[in-house]
Amino acid sequence: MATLILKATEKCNSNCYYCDVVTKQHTGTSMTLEVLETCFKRINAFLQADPHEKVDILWHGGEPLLVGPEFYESAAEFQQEHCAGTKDRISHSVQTNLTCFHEGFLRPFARLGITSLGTSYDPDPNMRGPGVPRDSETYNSRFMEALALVEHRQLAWGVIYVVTKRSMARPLDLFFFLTNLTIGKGFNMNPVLIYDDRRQDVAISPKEYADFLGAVFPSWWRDRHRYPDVQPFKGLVNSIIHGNKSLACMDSGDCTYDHVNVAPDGSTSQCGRSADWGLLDYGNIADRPLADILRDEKRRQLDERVQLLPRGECDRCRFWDICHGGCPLDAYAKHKSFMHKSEWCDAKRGFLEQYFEPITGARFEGAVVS
Amino acid sequence: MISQFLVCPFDEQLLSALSGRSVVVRIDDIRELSRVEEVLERNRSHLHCLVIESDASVVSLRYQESWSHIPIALFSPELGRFRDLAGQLGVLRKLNLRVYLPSDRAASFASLRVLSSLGIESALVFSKEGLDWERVADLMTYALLGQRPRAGIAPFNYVASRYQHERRTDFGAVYFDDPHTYLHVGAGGCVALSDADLKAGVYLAESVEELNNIENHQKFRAHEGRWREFFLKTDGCAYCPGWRICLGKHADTVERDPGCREFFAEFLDSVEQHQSLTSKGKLVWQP
Repeated sequence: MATLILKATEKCNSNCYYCDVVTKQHTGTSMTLEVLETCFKRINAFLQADPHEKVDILWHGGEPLLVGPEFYESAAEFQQEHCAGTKDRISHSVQTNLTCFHEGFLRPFARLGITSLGTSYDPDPNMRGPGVPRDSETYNSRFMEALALVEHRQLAWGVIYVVTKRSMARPLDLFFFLTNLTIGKGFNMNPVLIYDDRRQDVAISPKEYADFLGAVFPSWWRDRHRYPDVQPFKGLVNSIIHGNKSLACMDSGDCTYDHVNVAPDGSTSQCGRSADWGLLDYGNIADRPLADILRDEKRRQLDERVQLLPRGECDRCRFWDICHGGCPLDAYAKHKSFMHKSEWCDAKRGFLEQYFEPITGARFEGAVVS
Repeated sequence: MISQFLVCPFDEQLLSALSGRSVVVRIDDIRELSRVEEVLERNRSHLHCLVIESDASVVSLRYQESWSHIPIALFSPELGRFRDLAGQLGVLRKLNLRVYLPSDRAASFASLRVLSSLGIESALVFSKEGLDWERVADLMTYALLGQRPRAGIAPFNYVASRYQHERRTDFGAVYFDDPHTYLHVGAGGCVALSDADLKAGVYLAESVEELNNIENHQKFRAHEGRWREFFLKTDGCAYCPGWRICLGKHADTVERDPGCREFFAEFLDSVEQHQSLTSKGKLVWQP
């Protein structure tokens, strides 16, 4: 399965305090229909060449709904036109702040087979929203209006909650807030990623993130049947206790040859952050077949990292199988090199050793649970 | 055609206008019961439930076995003397009856236990102020975790029988306060989403005939989405572990009386415990 992160636009209608998109330099462009059409031609060629392959397209931004429903109608047209024999092996998902969502998106999303929307939410005032200071009241109200439509139209949805310094004041309250908001759905608690000194009031250390999870975990564990889809807990239980590894891209160690980010101008890179930081440039999709982009020589350094770390920084780490040194981009943010483990490994390790294992009674020994 | 039951006062002209519908008729005198039956039969309406809002105690009313086919919700201020119940117990047990007693009378908590143990369905009516959450929690525990067969006490057994972890559970229907199940019609025919709206003159429509596609009615949808408003606040009910079975019913008083938070968290635990107890048959040593 190849994952294509298609950045429909780099524009965003929000000015979320912790978002890296708003701080990067090259914002403001949207994907042209020419680039969009090229993407589908490339996808078709890739799938035709290998009948066992599949492609998952993640529409991302900026805010991907800013380009309007017409853009996604065009995507559906191009898929129909260029992928007639392969479209059954193409799936789509969207990561959106929902605030631009309206009835007009229902038709193109249905044509693309989009039945679920990924979104994010933060009840903390002035954390998300347009302008300075961020108008979170209007933003959150609009989010809820869109959510009403999403549910009325029976689309599935899930939430990412970004854990910040402010979250540390009341982890359990926030946990219950999120479980109540997403009843029958799921949510993910991710640490805020801050790469500058400007926003240290919301930045958290790996230890703080581990402690946040640790403050929430006993309640989740006790009532996990009630809150079945809470990440990262569910994934860790599956991996460590049930032995079914379901690792996100940052932990899987195998994003090397199956992820590609396509920027609005068609330039490709490993993922959104590598593109933002001008790293891992795989060329423009107009110039190269997708198969070549997915086998680009520059990817080898990510593969080498997975070979190197267990003999170095991750030597004898019993959590290697469920961490793989973490995200190479996180490592780069800290060391300006991919060949290190991510500092967020400490968060995972700290959480597992201090909270997860004592509370669950499970102990992870590599691939074996005792 | 709407699927909701229509809650209305006993008004012959109004009931004539609601001919052929499923109705909940409110009366305050049990002696009107026969007359209600006659009117409904004449109008070919279906009686979903007869609500009797009586000032008299439960035991002071006179019940008839011939009412056994009539679903009755009896709101009464008190049960009355336990021993006075004995003479009518046989009839009461045969009725399709739920007795509602108010939480602002301490005696109600014992009375509800008595009714439950006697096999008579009952419900606690939460007062707006001064709720003794400790007593409510005790009653809830009795209702849900007792092992002896007995009649349910709403809303506890109502929630326990309907709760699913993947959806919100609204027990408003116990009190006819759930527009998915009940709409309220005033004497003039105006329709409201709740009794409170009806009293406040906030109408959904001027008449029932206007409500053919209620699921898409703007006010109905707005009401349906009201739960989301809790999530626009930086504090309050959305942060409560018990919200999924309470849905903010005590939001107006929670600042003055935060006991509801602890109660509904405990209620939720007990509901799940009740479900796990009742889902597994007990196997003793006998092979």
